[in-house]
Amino acid sequence: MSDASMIIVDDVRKTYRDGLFRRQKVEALKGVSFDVKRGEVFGLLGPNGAGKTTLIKILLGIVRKTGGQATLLGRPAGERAGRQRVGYLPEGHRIPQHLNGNTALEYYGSLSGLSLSQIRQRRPESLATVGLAEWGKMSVKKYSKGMLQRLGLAQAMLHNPDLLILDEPTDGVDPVGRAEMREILARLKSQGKSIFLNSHMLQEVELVCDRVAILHKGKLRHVGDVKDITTLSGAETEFLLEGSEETIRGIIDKAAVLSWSGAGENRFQVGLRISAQPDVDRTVDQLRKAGISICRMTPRKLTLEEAFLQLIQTQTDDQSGNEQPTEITSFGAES
Amino acid sequence: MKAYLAVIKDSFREAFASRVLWILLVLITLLLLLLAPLGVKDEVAATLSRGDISTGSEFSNKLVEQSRSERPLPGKHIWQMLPRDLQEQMTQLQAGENGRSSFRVLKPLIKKLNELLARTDFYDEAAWSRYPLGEEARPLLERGVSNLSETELKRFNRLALDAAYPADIRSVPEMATRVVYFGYEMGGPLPADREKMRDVVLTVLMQVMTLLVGVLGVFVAILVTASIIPHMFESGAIDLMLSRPLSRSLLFLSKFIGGCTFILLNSAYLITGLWLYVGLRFDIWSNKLLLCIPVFLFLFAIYYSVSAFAGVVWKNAVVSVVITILFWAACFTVGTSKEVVETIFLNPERFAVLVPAGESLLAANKSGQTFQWQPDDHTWQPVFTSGSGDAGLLGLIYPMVGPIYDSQADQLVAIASSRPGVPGFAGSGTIVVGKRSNDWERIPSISTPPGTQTLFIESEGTILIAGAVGIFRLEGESNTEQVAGNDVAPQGKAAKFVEAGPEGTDSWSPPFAADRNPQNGNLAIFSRGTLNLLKPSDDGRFTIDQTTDLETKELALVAYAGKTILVALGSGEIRTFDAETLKPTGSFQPFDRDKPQQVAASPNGRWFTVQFHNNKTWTFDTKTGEPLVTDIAGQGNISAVAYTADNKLLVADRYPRVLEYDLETGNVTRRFEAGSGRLELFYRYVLNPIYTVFPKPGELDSMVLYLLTDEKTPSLDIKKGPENLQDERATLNIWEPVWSNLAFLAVMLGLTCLYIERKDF
Repeated sequence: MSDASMIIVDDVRKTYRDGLFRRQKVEALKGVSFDVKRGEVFGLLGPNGAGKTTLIKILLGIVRKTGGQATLLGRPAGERAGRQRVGYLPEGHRIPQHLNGNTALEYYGSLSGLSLSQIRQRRPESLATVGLAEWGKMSVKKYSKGMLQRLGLAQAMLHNPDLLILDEPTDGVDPVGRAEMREILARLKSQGKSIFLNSHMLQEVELVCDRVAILHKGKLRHVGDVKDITTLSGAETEFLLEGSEETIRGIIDKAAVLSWSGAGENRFQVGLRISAQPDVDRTVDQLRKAGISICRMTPRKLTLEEAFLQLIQTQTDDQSGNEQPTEITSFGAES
Repeated sequence: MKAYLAVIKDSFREAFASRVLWILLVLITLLLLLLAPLGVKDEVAATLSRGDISTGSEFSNKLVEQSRSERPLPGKHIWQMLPRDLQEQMTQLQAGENGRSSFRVLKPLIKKLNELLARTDFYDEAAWSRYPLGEEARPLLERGVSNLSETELKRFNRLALDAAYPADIRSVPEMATRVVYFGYEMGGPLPADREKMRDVVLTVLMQVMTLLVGVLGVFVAILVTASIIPHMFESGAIDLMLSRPLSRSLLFLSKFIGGCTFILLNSAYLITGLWLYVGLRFDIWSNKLLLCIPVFLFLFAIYYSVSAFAGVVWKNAVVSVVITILFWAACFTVGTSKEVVETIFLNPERFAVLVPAGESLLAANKSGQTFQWQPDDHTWQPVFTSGSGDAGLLGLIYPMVGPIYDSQADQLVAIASSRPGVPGFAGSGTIVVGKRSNDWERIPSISTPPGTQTLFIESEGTILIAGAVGIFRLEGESNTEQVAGNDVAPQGKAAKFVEAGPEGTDSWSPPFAADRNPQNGNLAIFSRGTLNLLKPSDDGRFTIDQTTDLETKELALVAYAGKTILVALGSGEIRTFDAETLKPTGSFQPFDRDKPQQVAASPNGRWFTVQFHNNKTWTFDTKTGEPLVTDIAGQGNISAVAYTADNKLLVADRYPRVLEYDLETGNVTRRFEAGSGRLELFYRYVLNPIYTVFPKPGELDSMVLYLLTDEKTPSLDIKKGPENLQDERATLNIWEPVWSNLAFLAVMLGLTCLYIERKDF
């Protein structure tokens, strides 16, 4: 892992204890390792309860890890100095109701160590960036959920941090707002900021992240580039075939069938989980040899969501005990 | 630091955003506006009101009786000026005719008298020939009544009336104070001068503040602020704070301090308003009043620390409020239980007077009951009772001077009041004696002059009493032997108190204190800042030998033995004097400003021991001229001291124990200790330890009272009359609650910080 890493997570474990005598153990993180490089937008994906927020809280020192190592901007996680250059937007954040947009930024800016003059200087721009320039004097009581999310982002950005940790930033934001959020993140990335994004809004992640990690039940399932994940085992080729159904089913590998639907008499639309060219060639050869007409053949990349679901499903089904996450280095190749 | 200040600043912002705060501020403003027109005004006391006349019918009857006298009398003179119909009504009242009520006669009589007070012929020298005018009236008379202003004339006539009917008409100070509201007088003149008015106003103010801020304010603040800490620790809110490069504990403490802003704003507004009010309206600029703001803030902080702890742990405002109320109830229960057990059961039992009587030891408790030590079975047996059940019950105090031991007649002598009353002895009582041969049974004898404060037995066995009214010796056929005898009728004319000098001094100004040197019979008398040495002449009358001005207005206690006079002043200062020259020989301040309660001197004049209202003792050794460093047990709990005939110090350090010390060696030579009762044991080993470790938020009232009155041991004497130091005083427990509460606050905040530091949020 490089020195340029903004975040390094190495075999981090967290066990919560619950119950009357704290005898009940809940393993929230079971040895998670990855790093986030300077200037990249990194997405942490996972279903609810996967341990994403726990991992973020460990990085910020809000929760203490049970084992492993983690650093934030080169400092051990939990150390105050490490949080100096970090902006954080928590999931479901609550800004006190007696504040308005301006005073909220003044309050959180002060907590981040900014002077009043610095805050007053930066506040208009921050509010304008998140589209709240005209709403600074309005009480947060009257803010919609989307406006609160934007204000949360503004407070995270106000002190010009090097690393932004955003936990579900588009939660409750309408589609227009989400597009704006993406623009903001793109702009921040262009400014050289590193962004650690925690979300289950996979479309957003797919659109803005350079790399993603997939966390499921406290284990890291995959770490890699978004495009690699979408082409990983989930990449699909769709055929429109004409011929005997029995013949077709006899030729193709059942395990590779993703979808099957009729498209007229003896015509079938079949989606196969094959994307590597040799596999495609072999399938075409076998079909043609059996006299099946290939009316159309369309290679199709999976969405991140489809890939994510497939990965989660695969890992859930796979109880073989392969605990190591897959590191995707190139198309179709797994390490 | 900026970040933490931002948290505190935000709390102000939050407080100002609270509607409850504004509602309270409006209510406080209304209260101050309502109070603003209420004030007092001073005026020359020149009128007569219903409250000035003790018994209306007696006064009226006296006028009627005097009108029939042959000699010129004030009543006869006044009668002649009254209208005929009023005279008839008064005559009928005296004769008990027509069911004439005194009220219906008195009303027009007072009205008419007030008219007459404005007349120059109200006073008639011949009529008043037997009724000498007082110090205030004489200069006015010398100026000539026709030369007096209208107010002066009224005042003069009023004084003349007072002089003629001292038993019927209450004399009032020159200046009377009236309560006014919007300029309208409310009621008659107050029974307090401007000086006492200050105490009254400040005491009322203390009660108002304690109620409004200490109880209501704190309760409302607890309700309003209960949600602050749980909100701070809600998921989503705490993350925003803990993700900053800040200390968790300091963040919490900043929020805690911020939470106190609500009560700070309210109490500061109310107390500053009251300070301005009493300053502007009563001319009482008590800056210490403003110090009550941090005191109330501290009081709130104690409760809030409990609320905050519950808020952090359970993150629920309702739970915080419930736990805070339970905490308050626990403090209240512990504090009240201790107070009740002490005040009603234990304190009245504590010894107030120790009387070594030969080989025996007798002791009188604060209820006025006397006991004798029974060495055989180690018990205290009640003695000196009349057999008619005059024992004190449940905190009733039977004021008594003494008892003292008359070694010649082997009897106890005391001045007793037969009625239970509030602490303090008005001085008007009855001499009671109890002979050992008669099992110390108490026999009442003649009454003492009012104002008697001290009682001595002279070497010849005669009773000598002294007080502000003068020095009297019991003379006549009677001596103590006869007075005590069962065959002598009480109140017998044979025995009477005869004034015993000094010449030209028929009374002593209060504050008054006296002691008699047991060796030479000389008296040391302290009277309004002067110390006088009186020596008996051949005829027994006392003459003033030396006088020195101590330049003090304080109350005092005096002890005189050997060649030393010790004066313990109310300021806590102890001064010693050479008994021959009255030259000062030393000055000490053993316990800051704690007031002394009792002084005792060893008969040989070597040691003087002062017992203070803080229940500690201090002993002076005349041989070294320095305080005696010795280990007297039970400091803080000592209720009485005395010396035996062989110069041993007796100390009552807890009921029912008295220890005898040989000050030469510092050893305890005798113990008079009976087994403690169950309640005493419960108090000593259960209640008091619990109370000691428990926080005492309710007792910060003492600090408020102390700040307002500057008095650690305020007198409990609510009746009029001169204050004295021997009376039981409420000892304000000022600093112990402060330390105890500070410790509790520190523990609670420390625990909360520890929890926060270790907790995953």
